[in-house]
Amino acid sequence: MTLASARQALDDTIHSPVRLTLMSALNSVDQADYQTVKDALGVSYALLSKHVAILERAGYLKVAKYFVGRTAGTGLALTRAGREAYAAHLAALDEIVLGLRAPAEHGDDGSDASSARSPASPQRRPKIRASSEGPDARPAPASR
Amino acid sequence: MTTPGRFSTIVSDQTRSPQGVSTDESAVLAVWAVVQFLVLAVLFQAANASNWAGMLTYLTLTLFLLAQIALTVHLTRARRVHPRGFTLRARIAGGWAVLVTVIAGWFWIAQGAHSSPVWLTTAVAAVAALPALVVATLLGRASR
Repeated sequence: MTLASARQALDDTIHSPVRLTLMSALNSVDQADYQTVKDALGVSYALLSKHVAILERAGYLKVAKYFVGRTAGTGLALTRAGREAYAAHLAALDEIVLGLRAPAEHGDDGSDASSARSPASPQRRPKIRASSEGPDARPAPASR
Repeated sequence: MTTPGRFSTIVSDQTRSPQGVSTDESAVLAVWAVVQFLVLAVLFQAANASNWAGMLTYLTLTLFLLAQIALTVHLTRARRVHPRGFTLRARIAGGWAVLVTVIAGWFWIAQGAHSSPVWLTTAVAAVAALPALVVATLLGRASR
């Protein structure tokens, strides 16, 4: 995966800070109640409800309402599609944080991919200016 | 993408328990498992109680249903965060209890009086309820 394809693989529905945090919180559990999630994220009810609704419309999240007497409870859980989308989003982020090392490790020379990700292999870091490339060789600005 | 990156690796790490797991919920689940054991232990021997078999079954089932209502209410109130794998484990534990009850109940409830010793029917009742107790214990451990 190149940087460009990784960027395109990012999911706009997930990438908002609140939604990414919410997806991360729910991906780490089977289900969580609304109050715990709200406290953990440090957001207001209104903001959380808005982002929950967006993720629910996208089919990434399911909301379960239950009542005990007058007390209303809300359970939040990721759907299978939500977990898959989140995993794909993280995989894209994994590629993006590698920066310009990302295309090199999948290069045509058959080099070992795992060694390129290790911090102990700084020799694989690309030079800012390759000898044959001028400043014009920089990638085009992102359209996202 | 051949090797999981940093984000994907952290997400797959399930060694740390999530915050917000309820101790009360695990306690209610443990009580539920104990009630399940007691009811099955009595029902498996109720047929041998000669004239009192019908009354014993009737009273046991009535108490079981009342306990189930009370425990369901408490469980819903105590419900907070469920760690990854909890739902699957709970379903397996429930399915296992039903399977054991269906098989053992065919011989020790449906067929009337039998010659199986108390220790055997009690042991089978314990085997039926044990997975539910394990699920409750794991939830309790995750809450600490």
